[in-house]
Amino acid sequence: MTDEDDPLAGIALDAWQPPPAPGGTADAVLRRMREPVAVAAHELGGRPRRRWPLWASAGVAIAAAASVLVIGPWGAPAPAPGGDGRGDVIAERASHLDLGPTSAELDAGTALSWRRDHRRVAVAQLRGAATWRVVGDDVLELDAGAMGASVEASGASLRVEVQMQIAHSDARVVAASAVTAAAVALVTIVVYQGHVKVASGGQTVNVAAGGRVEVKPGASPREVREVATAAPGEEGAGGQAASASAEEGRTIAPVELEAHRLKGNKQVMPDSYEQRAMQSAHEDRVIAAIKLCVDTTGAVSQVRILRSSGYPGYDQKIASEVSAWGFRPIEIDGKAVPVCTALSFIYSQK
Amino acid sequence: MPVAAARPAESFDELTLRRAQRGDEPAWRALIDRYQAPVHAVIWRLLAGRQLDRVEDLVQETFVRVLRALPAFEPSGPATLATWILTIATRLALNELRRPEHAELVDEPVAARGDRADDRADRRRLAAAIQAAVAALPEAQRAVFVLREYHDLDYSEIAAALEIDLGTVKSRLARARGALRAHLEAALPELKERP
Repeated sequence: MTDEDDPLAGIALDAWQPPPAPGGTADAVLRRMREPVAVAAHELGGRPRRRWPLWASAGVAIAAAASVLVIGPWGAPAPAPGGDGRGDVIAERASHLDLGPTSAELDAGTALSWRRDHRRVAVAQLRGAATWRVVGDDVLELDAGAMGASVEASGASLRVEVQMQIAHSDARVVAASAVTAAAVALVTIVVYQGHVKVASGGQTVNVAAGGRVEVKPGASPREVREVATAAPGEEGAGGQAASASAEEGRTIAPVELEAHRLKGNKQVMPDSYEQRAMQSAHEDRVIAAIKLCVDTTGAVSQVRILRSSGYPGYDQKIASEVSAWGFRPIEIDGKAVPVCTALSFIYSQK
Repeated sequence: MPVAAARPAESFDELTLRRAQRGDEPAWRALIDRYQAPVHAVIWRLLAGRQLDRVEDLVQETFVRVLRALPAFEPSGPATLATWILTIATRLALNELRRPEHAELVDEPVAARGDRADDRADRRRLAAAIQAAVAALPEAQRAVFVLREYHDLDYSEIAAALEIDLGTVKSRLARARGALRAHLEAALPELKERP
């Protein structure tokens, strides 16, 4: 059919007109644009939401000391319009950090400074571990440990761990200290999705999904081993192989653990609020990865978010549901053993 | 033939656009002032006069997203600025339509002004019938119909905006027009007398 043989020809469709647009729209939009990018954080594990400690406002002396090392090179401190902004955060507990489209799951004790300049998100991760999810057109430029190791990522999911020489030291002290760089022992970058550039010691390496790179101060990046990654392809919520470490138990394949599962809901759906948020963001598919450990009785002993779905409520729901799973004890050579595995949850909506 | 060229002419000057892309507030305001009416219209029409309380929120949200994404907009790219902005507005409105419905406000359609009182009354009836007919369309057909009939997007622009292929645009438009005709004839029997 063409417009010429339109069955509505001759009907005055222009009779249907909207009312005049209200005034004040520009003022309202510009007010919103002047607001800094929301920095919201909330803890995983079912605790109530809380605000981040923002050192820029809460700890003048410490922020000033840190700025010599971290913020100074970025230039003028005044945030630009357009959703740009900056801040310094220290996660006192495991927390979620939103920086516009890009987000991070921070382990307790992680200290970092960030600055958004349009699509560029510059981060100085001084210490601690964070799982980053870089989405949309954002480009993450991360200075790890303030020791010359830099990470560049777009359209990627990765984990950056900055290990310190000073064990169990107070994050605030380290963040403010002039010896921050010297205190860094090792930076580890694990790529879950996409490609990431890691530069140090004058050398740059491209790390693909599944790659793991270690960087020591002043040295070139060193690829240490491959890790298994989530393999998207299964529609709906369900488990898939990802990666796991064997700290809390022997690492087994998800399918092996699944064979011992006695109870629990595998079809974990986001609540309606999160579903609407996904629709608004034009995301018809989100992926979260967890580490799951089971003790010798078959009870879940640990659930840890390895990769955030980008929707904290969904992450929490997954963690909560998985915590209620139960298994027959896993035996090896006739003896019950603790095990760990990693699962990915893929939620799709049309 | 589309009934109204609600898409503004592409004369938003390049210099102002560049300033807006750099975050210049007066340029942002000029852009909003320029495109507010079509954005408001497309959202209002896609919601088919319902959920009135959400229209202005969605208009504002559209411009917030437009301004945030503006630095990445490529003026020489396949989409014109107007089409790009209408695309963002359309997607937001469609997302709104997919939300579970709550209590809603229903707008009384405003008929375009006629020459005589009788004409105005007829056009108000027609406007109300069109609004009801559009509201009865599935959202996928409604979007194609509104963008084509009221916002003058061509088939390829609609295909790009809704991320569907050209054939789907044509088939949805044909079905929408057929459904509209049937609905309008049922509501306004005098239309049956017309070809």
